[in-house]
Amino acid sequence: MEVAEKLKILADSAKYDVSCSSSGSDRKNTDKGIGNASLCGICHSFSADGRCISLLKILMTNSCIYDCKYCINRASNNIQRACFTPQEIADITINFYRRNYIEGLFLSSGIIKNPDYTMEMLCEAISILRNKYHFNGYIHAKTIPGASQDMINKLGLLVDRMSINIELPSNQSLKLLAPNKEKDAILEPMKYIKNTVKQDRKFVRAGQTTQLIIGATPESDFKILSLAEGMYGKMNMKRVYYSAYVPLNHDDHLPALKKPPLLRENRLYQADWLLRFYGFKVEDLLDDSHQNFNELLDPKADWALHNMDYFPVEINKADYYTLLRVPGIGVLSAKKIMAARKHHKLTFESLKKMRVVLKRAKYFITCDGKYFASTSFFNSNLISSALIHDERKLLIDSTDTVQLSLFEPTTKDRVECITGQL
Amino acid sequence: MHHWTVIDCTYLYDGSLEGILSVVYTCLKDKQIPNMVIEEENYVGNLFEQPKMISTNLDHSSYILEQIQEKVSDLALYYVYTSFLSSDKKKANALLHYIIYAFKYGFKINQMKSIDCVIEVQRIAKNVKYEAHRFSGFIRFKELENKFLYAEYESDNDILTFLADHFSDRLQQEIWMIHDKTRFQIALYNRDEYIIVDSKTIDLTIIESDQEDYYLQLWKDYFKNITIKERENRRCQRSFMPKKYWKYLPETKG
Repeated sequence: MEVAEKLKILADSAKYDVSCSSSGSDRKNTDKGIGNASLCGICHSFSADGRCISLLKILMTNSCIYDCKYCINRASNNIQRACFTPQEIADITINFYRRNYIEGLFLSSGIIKNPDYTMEMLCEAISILRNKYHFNGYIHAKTIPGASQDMINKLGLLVDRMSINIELPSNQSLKLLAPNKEKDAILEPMKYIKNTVKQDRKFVRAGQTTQLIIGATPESDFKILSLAEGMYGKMNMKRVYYSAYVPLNHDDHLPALKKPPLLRENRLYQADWLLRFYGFKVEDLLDDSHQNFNELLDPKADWALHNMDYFPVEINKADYYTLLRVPGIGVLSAKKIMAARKHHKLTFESLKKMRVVLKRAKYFITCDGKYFASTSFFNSNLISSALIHDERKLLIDSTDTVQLSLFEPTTKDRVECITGQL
Repeated sequence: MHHWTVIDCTYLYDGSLEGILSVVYTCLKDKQIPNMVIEEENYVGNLFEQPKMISTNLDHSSYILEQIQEKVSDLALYYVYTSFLSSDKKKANALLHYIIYAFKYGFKINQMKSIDCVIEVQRIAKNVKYEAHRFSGFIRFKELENKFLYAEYESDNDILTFLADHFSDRLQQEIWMIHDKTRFQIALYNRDEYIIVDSKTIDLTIIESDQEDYYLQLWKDYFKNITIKERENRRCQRSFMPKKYWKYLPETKG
């Protein structure tokens, strides 16, 4: 099979692993080498689905001995199978890199023979890049479920990031849809990597990540987010990715969705940001009686409306994490406010000048004791309908399809998700 | 600045950073500020205005730079250099006010986020830096038959030095050229250091290597195959990657 044909098949099969990051590594170039890693990552292009392309994301092979029900590459699917040689992978990567198409390589694989054999193949391809071509760009490799510690050691010293995908957010779902993968086969390598990262700076220096599939199984947002919170807390996960389920196979155990649940995925990303940067805990946002996010409002605005006694917040006195609780004030705005108010009192005018967006924030703040309007406006029903009206408008303005559906994430949402400005 | 006179006059400069700094020097000496500073090339006068051309004096401009370094901060210097690279016609005026305030407040100047000229200069610099960052991803090299790498682009701001710095490290073993077609300048790197020259003085006949088509096609195919059709959202794609960049992004050409 020609390389071009292999690339078509093996890129196509790899795209459902949504991680696109090339950030987090401080890898420097070496004397006779090529490449370096950019700490904040670099986007080289954007695909027609709006996702950033920063790595060459491919499978070593899409042959697999497992038969996970949701996976396009499951053993029982009748699809065209292909396999790269390690040299072919190294060649494409280095030539794409020289032309500045990519930041580096994301290498995954179906499982051939057994987990360690597969890991060995990944090591071989990446070795050629690191040792023969002196490549110092970014490499993200998948941890194959069930891999031994020896193989993880070997691969971890060659790459910047490793990841192993949980995919199914509960043990029952895992048993139902991916019976070949034991829970421990996923969690043990994860734990091992977490502990080894602590001991060796050069081992998986950009940390590990994981992915959860949203909507293939019945877990609530509460369950999913609690799992993510655990990952960040106990496993030092750098990122959890949420991938809206795209129906690829027909199976009795899989839901027949018409469209992937993109809005739900978007709300989870917004909540994920609240956990990581805004000082929120899952229990602030969801609980047993309120298990799923409000589709009409982002999680932060929703929290604010249910916690009105927290507001209004005085811009000139509130601490950083209190400022972050205000809908419409994100990390950048909060920092600007903290810096500017050291020198003079802030008014609504000065906030506007500093480009703090007041459209939503105005309902929740005072400047030197003054509210933006009469105090009768500080009413959760009134504010709620104003915020929902705005959100609807955003959704209607920004959807790409003629059929406007209320339940589509907006371009603005996506941008704000990435910049963290909520 | 309340003790300074604002005179009803427009100062002009020659378009260089030294030109702007010479204006700053002049204002500091005369203790007066014009109501506008514009690059001479962009000046459109009217019957009532009597513009004044401030000639560029390298001693004056060096002095101002040294003073910023000593009395203000490296960060202020960074803002001055970076916002100068912008194509924003109001940059000179913003810089004039910024530097004068900077001498007044010292290193605190960059925290004073509700002074207009501080906001303006920081905004302009951020804009330049952001474009440089975007282009570090959007630049595409072609391999030429002598194995050199060649890239070309058009940009709003003068980001060539940022790009040259970036690729001097990343592609340090390669010989490459990066051509800024907007400003007719080209950075040339020889595995040791780079220089920037006027592109009109160079013969830019491009002969691609015989591998070039092969890898370009692989990239185009990869780009197409990576889309998840069920998530297609062209508007989102365009908001991250505006059409103005597509001219030099071969993967967008199907």
